[in-house]
Amino acid sequence: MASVPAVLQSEWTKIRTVSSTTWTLVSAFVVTVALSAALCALTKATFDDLSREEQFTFDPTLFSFSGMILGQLAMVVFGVLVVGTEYSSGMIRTSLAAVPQRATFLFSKIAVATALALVVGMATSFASFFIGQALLGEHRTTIGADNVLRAVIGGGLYMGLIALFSMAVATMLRSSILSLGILMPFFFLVSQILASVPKAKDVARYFPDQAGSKIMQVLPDAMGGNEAPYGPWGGLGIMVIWVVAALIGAYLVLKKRDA
Amino acid sequence: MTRSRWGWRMIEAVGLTKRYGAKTAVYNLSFHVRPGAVTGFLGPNGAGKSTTMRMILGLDNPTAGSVTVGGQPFRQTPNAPRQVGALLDAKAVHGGRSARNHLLSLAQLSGIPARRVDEVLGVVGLQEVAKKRSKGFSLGMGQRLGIAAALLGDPQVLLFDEPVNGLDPEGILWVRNLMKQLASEGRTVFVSSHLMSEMAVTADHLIVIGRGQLLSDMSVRDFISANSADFARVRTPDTEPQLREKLSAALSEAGAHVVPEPDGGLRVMGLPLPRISDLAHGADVRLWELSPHQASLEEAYMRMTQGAVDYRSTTDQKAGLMQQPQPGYGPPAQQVPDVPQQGWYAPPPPQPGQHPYAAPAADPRLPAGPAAAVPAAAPAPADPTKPEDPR
Amino acid sequence: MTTPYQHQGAPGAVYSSPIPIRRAHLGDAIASEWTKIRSVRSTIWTLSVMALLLVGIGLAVAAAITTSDANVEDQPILSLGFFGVLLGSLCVMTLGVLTVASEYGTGMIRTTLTACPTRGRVLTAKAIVFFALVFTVTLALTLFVGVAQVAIIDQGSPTTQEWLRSTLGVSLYLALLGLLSLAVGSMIRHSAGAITIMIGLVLLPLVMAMFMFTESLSWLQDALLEYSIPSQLGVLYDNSVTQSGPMGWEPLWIMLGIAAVALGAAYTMLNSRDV
Repeated sequence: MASVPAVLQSEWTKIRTVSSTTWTLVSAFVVTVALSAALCALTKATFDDLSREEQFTFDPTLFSFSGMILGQLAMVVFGVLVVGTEYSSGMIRTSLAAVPQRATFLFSKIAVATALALVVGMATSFASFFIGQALLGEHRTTIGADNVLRAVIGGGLYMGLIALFSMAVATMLRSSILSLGILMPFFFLVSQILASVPKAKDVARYFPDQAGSKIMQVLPDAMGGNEAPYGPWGGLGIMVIWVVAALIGAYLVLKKRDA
Repeated sequence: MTRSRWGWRMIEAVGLTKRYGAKTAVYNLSFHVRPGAVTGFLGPNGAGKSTTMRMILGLDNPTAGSVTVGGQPFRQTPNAPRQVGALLDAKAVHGGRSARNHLLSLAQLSGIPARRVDEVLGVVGLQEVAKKRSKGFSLGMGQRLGIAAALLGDPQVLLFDEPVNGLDPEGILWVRNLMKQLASEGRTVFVSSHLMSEMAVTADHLIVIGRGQLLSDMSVRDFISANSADFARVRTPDTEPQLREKLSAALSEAGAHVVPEPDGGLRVMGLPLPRISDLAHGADVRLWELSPHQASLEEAYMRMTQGAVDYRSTTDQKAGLMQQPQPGYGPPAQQVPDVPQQGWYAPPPPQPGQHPYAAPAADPRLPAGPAAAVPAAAPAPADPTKPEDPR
Repeated sequence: MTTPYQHQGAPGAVYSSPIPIRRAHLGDAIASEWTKIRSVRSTIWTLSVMALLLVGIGLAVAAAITTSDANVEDQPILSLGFFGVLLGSLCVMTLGVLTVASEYGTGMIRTTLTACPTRGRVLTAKAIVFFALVFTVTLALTLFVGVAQVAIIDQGSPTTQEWLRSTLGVSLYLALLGLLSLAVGSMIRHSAGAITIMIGLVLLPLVMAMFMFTESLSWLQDALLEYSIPSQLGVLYDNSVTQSGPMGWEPLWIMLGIAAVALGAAYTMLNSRDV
């Protein structure tokens, strides 16, 4: 009987010794921070051109997270590869031979990877925020302002949850390519397209990424954003429900199917 | 191909060197492979065999030096599968494709008709599973599929990287006979292996490398005579140990090199059997055993590559499983005196839980006495480039 | 343990195959790549999903418009195929990446390049087979969807130009986009990484444009939007988001240029790198 701490330790060793972990997490950080910084610098340089209404509702916090839309792509890849490589390399058979308790195995792996994603997500979120604010100059906000800390921490949570959701989906589908082929279009096209189509918007706002990203807004409905029937924490809650559902599905699949 | 006084050189490497970053995988390797014979390419794991194979096949570019197949660099071969067949890695197939489609795509690449695919599937015995996706193949079936791919173009030159890996005994015998048959047809067969025992029964010629450098390049027969010594095993009555001392002294006096064996026998080198018998008779020593022996190819190989093993196993002391290491645990210390013998003679029988070739301090060069005796007992090594030669 | 061996190396007795050896050429490689691409499931899957998206979304949009009696006079009917093609392009990108990168993932590339050491020929054959396959499939699908939409909605008939651009043009564009993915897959040599980069490439201009509100940046925002892959595709359907930017058949030339540069880089890297 493998003890939980032992399995956790083994999963930590596995995760830190593959190069895809470093690659994806570094890209998530660099892409988010760099793109956010670039957009903040551009915005500062041209702030006076904004319309009066836009200047009033300008949300400096949200702007410093603008790169996250692309950065979360790398988080999705991280989550998918953490699980998917077990299947593609056949490592899963070795792993399940060593830890026959599949629930222990799955949740240890996911716990370790999620913890790592959360740490990187938080680092990304805070780095993105502070660099972005520094570049925004006089239009900046501070971490002590109303709701700002909530948004920054929320950004980190969002990144971690995206990775966790991807892991659960990859466990269900048992293939990296298939998971990416479904998650990427879903997050980056279907969800975005539907969110801009009048009627579909009502459905799309309950998608995990649309609901979850609400937490990163300090001013609700900033810059003419969509109004939503839920608040920032409510949005994150909807995302958590999606994640939990996916995890249950993952557990059932792993339990039932031959490795 | 180049014709010289050495005969045809189908594969010729000159000063082949490959560095990956700071690590040198192959260094200044020069050799050539002739047709009509099975040439074994031998070396411990990580010696650079596969890297050399990849450079021969143009997959990796050498850092320095060059290699030609049939007289030209492989990448300039006009129709490679018709001239060179290769088995590199049994798993180098797309698992989602059926065996037949895999071979068909390779056949089409060089204009080989589809019925040739069915032919080679028959040769390797995979007709039954030709339509199955190769993902479900065992390692042995994968090797057979790889061999089928190599045979596809009826090529003049064949390269096999560890072809018997994962095969069952029947499969190993089949590969062995196949290689001999291919060579007897006048083809050039170049086979890598880390198993000397396998090469001993398959190859005619041996190229041995260690740590990426050439250790030996000679025929199997020359290899044995250059690297092993005939010796006699003599046993005196166990009941009278003083007879053993007496005989040992008499034999040494007559110019033999005598080494006691752990079980009480003696190994005698440098004297023919009748002379030993005469000396024993002259010294008035009764013999319980007097038998001729020849060191095996395996021993010669072990000795040659001992200094060049990258991945040497240590004794599994299971200390890592212990919460606190226990001092008394592990192999008994008194085994150590036996150790210097290893490397000249048959290795000691495997101890439980101990790799026979990996006893600590198994380096033959440490003690001075026996090392000096080796050249006296064996013909001087023919290959002066051999860097691992005992001092 | 010495073993008698019979086959002493006999210099001069070199084997030569009774079947004459001819040079291998590009045609052989094309036949081989066709066998490869049709014999893996990922091809079947990606193309089936693409067919489903193109036909399903195309017909659903057309049906929705007729039932709601919306007026589509100001918009070409054929442009209703846009959303299906946009999603279908993801399938094309995936297939393009997989065509090369899966050979690296499985190790098959070493077998392939041993059998055909002229590396450029392998990549050329892959590109030709893939291009032809994607072009043919997309052309058939866009034609079918276009004809069906015109039949369902029944509000005038599109011009020949519109027909050509939304079938031939879109098919060529998707096939070129696929070639770009194939080149990226060949350079990155990792399926997941290459797919991510391709999706990033599609998204990056949109994400950047999304956060450019200010007046003085509007030229940059417009440019990013106009030259992003979705709106280039939209131009072919004549419902571009803006009035400037690429027009008519221009998106094809842009994509042709990008794909050619990427393929050129892929050739160079393939020839110089160790496999």
